[in-house]
Amino acid sequence: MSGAAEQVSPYNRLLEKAFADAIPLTAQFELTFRCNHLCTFCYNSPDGRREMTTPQIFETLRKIADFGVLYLTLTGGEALCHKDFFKIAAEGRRLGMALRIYTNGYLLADPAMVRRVADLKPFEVEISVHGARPETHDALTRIKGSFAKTIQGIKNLREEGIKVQLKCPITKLNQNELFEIRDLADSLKCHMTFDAVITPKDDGSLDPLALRPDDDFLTKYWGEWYMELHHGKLPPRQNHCAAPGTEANCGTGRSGFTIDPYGDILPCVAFRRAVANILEIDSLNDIWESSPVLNEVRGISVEARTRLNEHEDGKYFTFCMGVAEKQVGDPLGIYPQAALNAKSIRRSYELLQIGERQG
Amino acid sequence: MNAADTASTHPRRHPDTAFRKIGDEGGLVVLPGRAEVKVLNPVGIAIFSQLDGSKDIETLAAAVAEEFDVELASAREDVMKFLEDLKQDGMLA
Repeated sequence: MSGAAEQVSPYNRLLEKAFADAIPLTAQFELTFRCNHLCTFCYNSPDGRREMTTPQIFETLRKIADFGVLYLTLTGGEALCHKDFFKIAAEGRRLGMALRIYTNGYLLADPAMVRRVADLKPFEVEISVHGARPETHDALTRIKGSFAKTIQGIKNLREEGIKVQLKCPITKLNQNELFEIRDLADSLKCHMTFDAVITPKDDGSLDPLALRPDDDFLTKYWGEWYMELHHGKLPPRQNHCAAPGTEANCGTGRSGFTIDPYGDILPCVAFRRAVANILEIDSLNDIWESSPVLNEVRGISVEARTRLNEHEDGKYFTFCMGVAEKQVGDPLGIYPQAALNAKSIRRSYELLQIGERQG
Repeated sequence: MNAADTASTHPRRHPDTAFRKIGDEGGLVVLPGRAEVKVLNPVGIAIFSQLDGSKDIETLAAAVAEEFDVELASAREDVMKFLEDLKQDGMLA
């Protein structure tokens, strides 16, 4: 018998166990839909209801912590635009959760703000970078000067020793500068991820799709550029939130959940079917196993993977049921971006002569 | 008894840590300031979850001996070794 700390593979084993038993490790909490950017491809769709007050947010945090969640992700809108962001984040930490912050980084150009973030001892901060140049980034955020402020914010965080994860939704405006964006991330000593799928808005509007990268680009992205952009990493063949070997397509309603600014509990940030309102339940334990919505979503997730596996390119699909529901009206319906990505990834693996079970 | 003595006899996990037990398989401990995650086995997470500063080593060892059906002397030795590992990893207050 030993209680000694172990590393590497036991971690994956625990994640698989948590996934199989639907033990949620992460809560993504959208504090507000307010934002200081005007991104044209943003998926948020505020519906005019009153957002939760700070005391209600504190009550929500207590329920999340009581449920045993390990990672609390604070997001928005722009989370730092909430007037009580630091009080809320500190309360999350006091309740024993590890903190992730999703932000556009604009307000972190102010070193005093970054010192307050550092005091929270966040696990990591995730920031979206939309271009390698001001004109590209600012055109997508529609805020002049936003690139300079975001980059300064990233530098300030790194100087405080905070882990920063950068992410870039690929659009037709930035698709030709991905290598420069990757080099920028390297120069800032940050890990970079690119997202090749622009999603519809939460209200079903397809307007953001006008910015999606073109098909020729995506074919080359997966087949020729992905590995070089990601320092030799192979393209993904399953959703990042799915445990290896699972029967489910993704972790929606399983490995985590989302709470929106109105207190509605959602299976995940993309699959926005309201489960219940956090202010109307005593405990998340009351709904997690018995909710018809969650059970249906978990079932659809298994059905999605089963159907995808029957598809010609099925072993190469990363597939979002939330996007499918919004874009083609069926959570199991294959939307064009997913099909193109799977086909391109399959071709990439074939060129590399890597079999379905390798890599 | 000063604060340092109390910390050594009534160990307390570092206030910056976050942890979660996962079934009977073990658990995860996050060290936010270092952006690290440690994996603990079932005995480790059972001990770690008890480190709120209210229990002395003898109490912790007795709990391990009972829960995992081992001799008290063996449990005491393991608890001491585990606490030393935690201390070296910066996971104790």
